[in-house]
Amino acid sequence: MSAHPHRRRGVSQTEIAIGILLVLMALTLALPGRASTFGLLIYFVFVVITIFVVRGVRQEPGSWMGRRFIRRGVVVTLCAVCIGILATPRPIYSETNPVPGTGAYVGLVMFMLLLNVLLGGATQRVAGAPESSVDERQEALRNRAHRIAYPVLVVLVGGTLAVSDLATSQSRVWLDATLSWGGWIVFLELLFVLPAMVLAFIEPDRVRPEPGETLTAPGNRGRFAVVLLVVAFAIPIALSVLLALVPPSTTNASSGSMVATTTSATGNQPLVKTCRYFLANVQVGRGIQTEFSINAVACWNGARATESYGLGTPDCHPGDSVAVSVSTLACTSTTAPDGTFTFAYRALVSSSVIPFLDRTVSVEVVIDKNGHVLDFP
Amino acid sequence: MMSSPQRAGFAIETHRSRRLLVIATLIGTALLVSSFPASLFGFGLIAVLALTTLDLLLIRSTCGLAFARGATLDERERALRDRAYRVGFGWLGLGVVLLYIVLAVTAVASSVVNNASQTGPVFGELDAGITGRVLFALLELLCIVPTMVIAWNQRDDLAQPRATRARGMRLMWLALPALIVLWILEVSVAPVQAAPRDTADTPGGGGPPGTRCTQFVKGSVFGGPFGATVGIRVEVCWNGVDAFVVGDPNDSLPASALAAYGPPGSISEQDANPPEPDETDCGGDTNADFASVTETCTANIDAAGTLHYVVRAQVSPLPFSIGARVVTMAVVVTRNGMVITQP
Repeated sequence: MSAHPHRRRGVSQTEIAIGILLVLMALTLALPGRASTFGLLIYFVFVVITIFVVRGVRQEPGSWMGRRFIRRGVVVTLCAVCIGILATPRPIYSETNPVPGTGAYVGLVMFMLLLNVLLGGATQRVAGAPESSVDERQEALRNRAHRIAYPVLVVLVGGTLAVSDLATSQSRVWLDATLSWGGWIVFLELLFVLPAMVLAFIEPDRVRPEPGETLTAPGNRGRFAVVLLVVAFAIPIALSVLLALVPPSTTNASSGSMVATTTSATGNQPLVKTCRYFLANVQVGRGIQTEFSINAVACWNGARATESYGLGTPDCHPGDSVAVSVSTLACTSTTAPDGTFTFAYRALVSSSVIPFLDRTVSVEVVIDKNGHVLDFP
Repeated sequence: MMSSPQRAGFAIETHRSRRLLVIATLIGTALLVSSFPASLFGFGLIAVLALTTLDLLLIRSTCGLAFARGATLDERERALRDRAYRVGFGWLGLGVVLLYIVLAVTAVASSVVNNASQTGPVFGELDAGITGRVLFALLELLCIVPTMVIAWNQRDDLAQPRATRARGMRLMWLALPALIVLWILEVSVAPVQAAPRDTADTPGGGGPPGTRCTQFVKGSVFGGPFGATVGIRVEVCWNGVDAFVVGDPNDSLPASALAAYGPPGSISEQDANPPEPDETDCGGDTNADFASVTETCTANIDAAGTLHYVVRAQVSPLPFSIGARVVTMAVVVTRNGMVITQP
């Protein structure tokens, strides 16, 4: 019996490693608390492996990326993304923005990376390939691309630096801000990718295959790279959706009541009040996440309930946050005339990857004058 | 190998001398970008002219190959030039990283040295853009790297430049006087621009007990990065009796402020008002790399307890105060914290 032409190939070591990573990532993201931040670390390892696999694929671009106007479209889009990154304001910390938003910054950087991969595929990564792997024609072509790209780099980088540093005080403020934010990303992008952009721009359409002749089909490694790429981009998007859709998970505990005795302001009459320790943790999102913690003591004496510590307005801030922005919507810590104490903190949590995916989170503690807990996370 | 009998005796046209020129240019660029010395005291232009001279010598030694048009080159020269641009991308990336390391390490070292000598940190608090030293170093790298690559790698003598390139190389020396004229015009004529406080910086600390304080940080930029920046950084406190400066022992605390620490003699003036350059620093945000700056700061409290803090500075691009410009910035705060005047 002859061998089947489409016999299944064996599973490579890279695929096994990727599989283990994905399982580990899913497990850690399913766990509450800080364990899910380890999932993000695993994600970065996954991204690094993806980069190596994608870089290792050298094949003819397909019929789409072989067309000059498509490649030029990718280049123009890349330029627009770079301008978008430069225009994104630097996040500034304030009391109402304890974890300041990054706007569209993260999303733009991810889109830029995707475009870089497309561009690399369209130019077969000739611009940065080792000398041993390019032929004489490719060597001459990429040298010419670098020669054209260099003056463009000088004008773009040098011109931007010089004009913005010389022109007005506002342009200098922008320069200061962008050099500590998106400016470096764009500089590195231009430094490493501009020659490939020029190459994609100047190269003519690929010669159409003769009738009956087809382009080389993408190999297993090529298909594997595409799958990895899709998964790499899908994970942060999926985690952003989780942030918006999955309800926060809460763990709480509070100690038994304890009696505290203090003296009055006149110093001759003992004041007896009862206090209780409150501990709660509200986790919003998985992987792309933040948490709000209550670690407080509240007291009451039959006339009024008060905060001892941990339930004041300075305590309106999130804990560890990963790839989110948090804005405070409301923060109150008051005792009503009937003696009921209320701590209310409301915040808007947005994904840094897709900023319009957000969730409003409320953390409330309400205790009446007799120590009855009316509301607790 | 191509030879050039006319230029055989020219000292910079051996492979070794070309490499020495490259090394000298790199060292000069690194020195310019470093924070040692913290100020060039108005002599920045000399450093810029020296580096520009090295650049011109490099261009001369490579026959201006990096800047030559394709039509004036043969196939070999064109291939050499194009390859230099490709290698130049790598050199540029490496150069920027190295410059960043030099800048960061020397800034931290300079800060440590200054803190040890009680003169405070060197980091400014103004949004004054990037300094002229760093800007020129970056522009220098951007413009000269392909020429450096050619000078470093080319072992053979380069071909005799054609007439058009030879004329261009003679004219390029005009860059030096042009730079001087541009600089004088920029420092003397260009409008003064404001430099606000960097929003990433947090305000300074507090004052004596029972007082409220606020900090004023502002600057004026003369001639952009290749001129001078004059800054004012002062922490003003008030207690209902007097408004006064804290953080600078040169400005004594009034009796009403010292009284907040207890009976007379319970604390020394030095302990009550230690130097805090983050709060008040006369000249702390001043940049005098490319023009000399003479700056004085005075603080006076009038009979009504109102503080008058005045910074006067003279910016001189040339010796003997030729083309000098004077700037005055004042902060006036009443004993109740009302700000009458601020820059």
